[in-house]
Amino acid sequence: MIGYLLFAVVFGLLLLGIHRKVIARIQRRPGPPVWQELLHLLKFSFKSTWIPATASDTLFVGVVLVAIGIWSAALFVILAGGSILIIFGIYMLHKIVEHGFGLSSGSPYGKFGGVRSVISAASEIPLFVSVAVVAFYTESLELSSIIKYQDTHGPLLFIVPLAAVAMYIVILSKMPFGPFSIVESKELVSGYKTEHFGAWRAGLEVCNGLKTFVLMLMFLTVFIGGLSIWWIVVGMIIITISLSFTCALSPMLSPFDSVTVQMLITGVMLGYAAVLGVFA
Amino acid sequence: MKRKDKIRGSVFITGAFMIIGFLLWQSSILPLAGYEAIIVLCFPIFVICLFLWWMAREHGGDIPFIGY
Repeated sequence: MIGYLLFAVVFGLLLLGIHRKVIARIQRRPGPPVWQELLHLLKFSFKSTWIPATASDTLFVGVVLVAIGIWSAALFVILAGGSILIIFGIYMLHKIVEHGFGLSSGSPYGKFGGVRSVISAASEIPLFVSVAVVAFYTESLELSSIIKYQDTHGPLLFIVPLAAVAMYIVILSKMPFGPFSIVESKELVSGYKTEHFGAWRAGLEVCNGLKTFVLMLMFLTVFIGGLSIWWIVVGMIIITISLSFTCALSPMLSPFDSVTVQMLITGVMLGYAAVLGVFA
Repeated sequence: MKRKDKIRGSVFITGAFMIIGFLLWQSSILPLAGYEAIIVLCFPIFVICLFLWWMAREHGGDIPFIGY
């Protein structure tokens, strides 16, 4: 289990490195090496660290521990074929963690990042309506049942493509440099994580690697089915490259526009779910 | 006890918990969910304490920016 966890952290960070590299190549820059995020993790872990004078000590440190803990739990839930609702709950907890990151430091940049995290939660979380669409067909929210359904009927990606698009947008909104990355956009320095430096930022990098791996693994499991580790690796790289193209070719939206676009997509998804609910 | 020693102690304690959890799971004394719960609780503390242990000295003389 600890081996899976370490693999998820390292491979998740490599995916973020690939993401940066592909964006750079699209923009005709050489870009950093794909292992840059791993170097970041090591660099931050070696740096001298303390807690800012303006910070709430307990919250400042606690959110880093909670961030790593919840995504570790999410990984184990997926590996055990548990319920999507638990992953959904962990995603909501992550929004609270982002909020806690921002508010704990006492920095105005962090606070703005934390507030934006709450704003974006209003539009990202309803996108989980795609889970309802999946449940219409599989009649279960257990990942093990969803995998079994796909063994018989083929990938849900082709049965309910719009639901897959909604989940894809959830992942897109968590990727750096994306159109919906309002939580850590450049006008806020680094957003909610501005004041977390040194060992705290290294811990956050561990969380980012885990989060990226878990979200992509969930997408592949829910919409493609049970895959071998090599197909998971290939699938994740393909999803990452497609996300990189989306991020590189679309502007970062303002907070208002970001929420509006996501709410419109959620509206379409709700209509789609309603139609499927009536006719499925 | 110095702060650095406390942090090192936390690294060893959480690491030991995870190893003991693994051994108990392997010998079927502990269910998989129990072992996973131990990892979820201990892994974050282990990681952060490890980083705090091997990081640079807190009061060491940093190289100031002296221009290009």
